[in-house]
Amino acid sequence: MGFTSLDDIINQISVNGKYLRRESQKSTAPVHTAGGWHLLCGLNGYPNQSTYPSTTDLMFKACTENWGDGTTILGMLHGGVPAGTAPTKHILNVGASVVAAAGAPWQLKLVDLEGYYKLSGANVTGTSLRTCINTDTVVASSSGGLLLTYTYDWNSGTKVRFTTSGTLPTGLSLLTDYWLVRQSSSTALVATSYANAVAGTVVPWTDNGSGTHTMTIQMRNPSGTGVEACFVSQTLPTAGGPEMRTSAYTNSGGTGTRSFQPTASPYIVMNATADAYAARVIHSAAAAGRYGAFLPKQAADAGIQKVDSFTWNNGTAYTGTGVIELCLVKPLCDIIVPATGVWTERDLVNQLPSLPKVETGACLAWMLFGAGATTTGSPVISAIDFAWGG
Amino acid sequence: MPGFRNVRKLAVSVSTEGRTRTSTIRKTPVQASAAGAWVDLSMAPGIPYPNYYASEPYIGSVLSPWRGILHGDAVAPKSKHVHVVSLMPSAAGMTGTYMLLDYLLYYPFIDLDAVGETQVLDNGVAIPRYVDGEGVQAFLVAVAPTTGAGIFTFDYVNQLGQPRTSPVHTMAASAVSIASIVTALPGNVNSGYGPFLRLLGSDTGIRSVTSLTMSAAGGGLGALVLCRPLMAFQLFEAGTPTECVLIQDSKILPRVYDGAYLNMICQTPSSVAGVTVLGRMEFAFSED
Repeated sequence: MGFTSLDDIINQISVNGKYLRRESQKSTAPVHTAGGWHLLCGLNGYPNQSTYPSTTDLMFKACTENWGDGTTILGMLHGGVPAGTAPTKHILNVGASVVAAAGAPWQLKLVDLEGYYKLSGANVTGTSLRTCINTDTVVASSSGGLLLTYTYDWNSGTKVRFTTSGTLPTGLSLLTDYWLVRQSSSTALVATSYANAVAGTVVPWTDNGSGTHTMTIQMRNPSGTGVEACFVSQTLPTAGGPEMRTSAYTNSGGTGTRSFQPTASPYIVMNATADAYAARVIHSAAAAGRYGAFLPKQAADAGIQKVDSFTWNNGTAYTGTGVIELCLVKPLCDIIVPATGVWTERDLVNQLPSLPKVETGACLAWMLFGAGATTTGSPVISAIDFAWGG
Repeated sequence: MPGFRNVRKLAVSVSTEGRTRTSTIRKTPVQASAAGAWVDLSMAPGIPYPNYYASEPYIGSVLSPWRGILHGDAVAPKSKHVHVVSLMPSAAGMTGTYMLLDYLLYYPFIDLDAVGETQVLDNGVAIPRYVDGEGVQAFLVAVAPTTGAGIFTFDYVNQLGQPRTSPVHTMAASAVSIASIVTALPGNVNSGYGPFLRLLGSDTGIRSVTSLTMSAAGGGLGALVLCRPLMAFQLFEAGTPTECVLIQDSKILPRVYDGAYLNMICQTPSSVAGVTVLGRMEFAFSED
């Protein structure tokens, strides 16, 4: 619902107390090379460092405020589900500083990390088609509610929709969002909202439906609108730097077989080892074929619902034991930090777009871009002011 | 209808409907420049990576949009516009006036020593996006260091399709390094009129350039670049970001056509060598 006016913002904050300020601090590592983007949730500090856990390569692991990556709360907490009548949470102000002997100036980008697909082993070094796992076949039963049994280990808080060849179990509907409440590595109960999932309020069992039921992941941001994709290194490969000439994603309009661009030279190129260290966005650098923080979307696509596949089959294949995450994020705002130790603030009430919305369950993380080679062990400190209406 | 019908349409496009693209910019020129000179930042190392106008001499060529300031794939039939510019110079050498240009076509490796020779330029490739040439300007940038004081004219086709010969131009009196615009410093008469070459009479644009003739040697080599200026802005102070949210600041959202190669030129109070400019540009595209 947002805010109806500036007076409403002031009233919600000062009278109704619908305001929260949260801080974070991350420590950079290793030394960064100049001109690259970094996703900081894999670094030490507060929130805790994520190791991007996943028992199955290429499956989508949803990240949320309450459950993090399924193991670690990796996002900045922002007060949970806001109370009120159809409330929406927004960012009023952000502040940040970086204290480093080198690397200034910096640009910081706040993102909502929707989740990631983990790549390891041959999925990093190979040249074959990588097919991402965005669906699962589910079998319904009764255990503490409507229990779903499936193949892959989906995180609690994963937003899904169901389709079926027959009839869905009572309590589930087509074209409707649900949230998983993980019970084990192959089972989950189902909630009708994120808030209900947090509260443990689940859909009761009535029947198992009929036919074959399929579950498909959904983005927290409706239809994946505004969602971008980036490859982030967790463990650097030994050598290489492949090209990505072929890819497929489903855009926010639901159209599949979309491709990251360009699909002709100059192709997207992944960085060599020196620029593929932990936390680095491996297609960002001051070189040909690097297109910044995010993989360029096709034509006028406004977002990504899911990544379906990609191939790294040209250039120089990676070798070694590298681990990479294909992350899906929704950018929220940017702030420039001009010099070391300078605290910079950005008022997001009085500019366009204003008051970036924080979706329920958002997993907030920072991305860092350094003009120079940011010294290792440098603290990146931030504070965010939130308010909600409704 | 291109563009946005109202402010709300723009805000919604960017904030909730994902019709936006963001580009990271980080440029650190290596070549020295004179105080007050105009410098072509497309030739500077960094992000986007440098352009050297390296193709066959005299033949008009276009630049790939994927090698300039990234604004994303084609969005037609929607229209794309510059929405936010946020840049910060790391030192005083990169403060000054900046222009965002759509680089349309260039003619490389023009010999600035070839006195008396009419250097015929090949126009097998037509000017893209602004096909009538309306509003298209030209600048001559050094791709090899000059010795200075050269004098030249050029023949061109104006926005009405009429063949014209330009006024006499004088290069900067002193030598300029690679990436400096050769006519942009006062030196002799007929120089120092800004970054763009002067056109004849009331001409308002260039459709093509057909030849260039040196009447006095200026040394070095140049690339003659046809461009469409999109916007200008100031970077005021080292270590201080300049942020322009164009709908609020100027009420003008320059349109970026599909396929545009975007980059910048700048005029600074001292040499740009070794100084960094960092920031981003955001683009928004329409609903329909």
